[in-house]
Amino acid sequence: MKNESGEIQPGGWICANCGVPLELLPADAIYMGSSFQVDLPRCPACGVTFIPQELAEGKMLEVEKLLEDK
Amino acid sequence: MKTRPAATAPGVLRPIPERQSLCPVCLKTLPAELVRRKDSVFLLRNCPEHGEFSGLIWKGEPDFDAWTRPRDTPPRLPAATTSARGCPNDCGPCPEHRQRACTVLFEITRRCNLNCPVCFASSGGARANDPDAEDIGQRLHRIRSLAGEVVLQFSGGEPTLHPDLPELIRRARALFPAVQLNTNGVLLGQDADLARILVDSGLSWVFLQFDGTQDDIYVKLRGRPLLDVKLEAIRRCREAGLPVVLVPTLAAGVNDKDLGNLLRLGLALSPTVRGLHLQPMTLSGRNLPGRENPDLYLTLPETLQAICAQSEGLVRPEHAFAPCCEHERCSFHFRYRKTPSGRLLPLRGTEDECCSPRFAPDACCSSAGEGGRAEGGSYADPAGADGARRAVEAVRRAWERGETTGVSDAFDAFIAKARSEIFSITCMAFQDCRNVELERLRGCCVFVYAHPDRLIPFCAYNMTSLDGTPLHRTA
Repeated sequence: MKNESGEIQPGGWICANCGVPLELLPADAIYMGSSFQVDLPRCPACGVTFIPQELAEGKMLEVEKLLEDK
Repeated sequence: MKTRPAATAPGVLRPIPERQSLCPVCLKTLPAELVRRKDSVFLLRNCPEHGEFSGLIWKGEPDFDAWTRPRDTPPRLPAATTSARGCPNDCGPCPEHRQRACTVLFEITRRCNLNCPVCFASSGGARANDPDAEDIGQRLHRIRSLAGEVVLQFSGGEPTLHPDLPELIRRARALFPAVQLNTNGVLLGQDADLARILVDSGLSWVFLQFDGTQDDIYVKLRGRPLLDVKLEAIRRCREAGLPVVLVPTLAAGVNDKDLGNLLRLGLALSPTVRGLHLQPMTLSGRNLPGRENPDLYLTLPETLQAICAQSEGLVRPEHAFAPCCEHERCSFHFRYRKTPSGRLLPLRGTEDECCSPRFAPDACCSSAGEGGRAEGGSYADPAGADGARRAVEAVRRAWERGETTGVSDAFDAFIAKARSEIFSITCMAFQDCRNVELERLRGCCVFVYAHPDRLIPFCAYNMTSLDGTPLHRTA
């Protein structure tokens, strides 16, 4: 799901609701009062955002640990 | 021995049996009991030879019972000795020890470039030659084998006096996830290159002895004015990208009223200064004139209240956490994000969130379902099965320098920014002969490496009787 520079790519995922391929689009990440914008695979029609497993278990978890002092 | 008011008057509550302490005169193990009088808790014991002793161990808010937590049984360090004379004489650890290690101190020299009136290690003066890099390198491997993946602290004496310190740091970083330097900062302030050399060697952060913002404090505790050289040390660390934690030794009537100034200075110097680590003075090693005066010593809750009261509303008692690793009466911690406007946002959110530091009987991360909760509830963050590992991870997040390279997306950028905004206030209430509880020693995760191949709980290692006779430390 990453290209050579480490950016997350949409891969071959298709939105189950809309039937269209996901695209790399801006998304707002909001957590415990902090927010920032990041490009993630999203459905261009309905806006559903796909969180790859490696992101959830990697950088997202790191953000949670930082903000929650887990 | 002078004591605070003896807890023998009406109002004494609930003696708790099966506790043990030491006679402050002969360090003999004695049965003890905790008794409560109003908002204070005293440790009472009776030595057949030296009489009754009462040591204050808790005073004020947070309430003693509310702070008390159920203790899970964590994984233990393998015993390195057998039980022969009983705790705390068989360290260590002996089979009675009940905790893993999160930190190991390695005293690489007994020499020091100060001769402080207050020094639990009684360091200073001319000493025998230091062990060389090869010798220390072998001992580092032994520590790794005995204790596992701990934070390795180089200490002393003054460890910057060891000529091989950069090489020792390099060797330690190959074995341990983080390496800390406990220093008075004099050489860091005087040597233009030292901070950079230590960073390049792999040093994770500096624990800088920093007792206050006024030179009269240093004159009393360290024997000479040192503020300028310590500020210079921080400046050089900033230039080198070396994180610093300010570590005041707190003596009531000397610098306990300077905590607010220390906090504001630390915040002004963040992110180089990652936080404050408060250490109330103990009656160990060298100490001030009148060392037996109980009014010199601060308990854990008194320290917590002092930092809150002097913070101008930045730090609040309800933000405090009990530890997840060591015994709950040994420490507290606050972790914040510092906003650009200078506010401190407590990590782990607000009181209505499930992992609030405040007592939350139904908190999602409570251990009530596993091991029960002490009557009257407790602060959250219960002792987990692997508190030592969590403690290592937590201090690395709090004190390590955030990576500034390899930022590839907004997550990386946010992580780097958030790390630079974290500011922690921690306190470690070390024990001494006035107030030692063997229960706390057995639950200790902060060890001192003693040659050959022994790990001794920090407070046991530094324990001295009222006349200065050490329990473990050798001259």
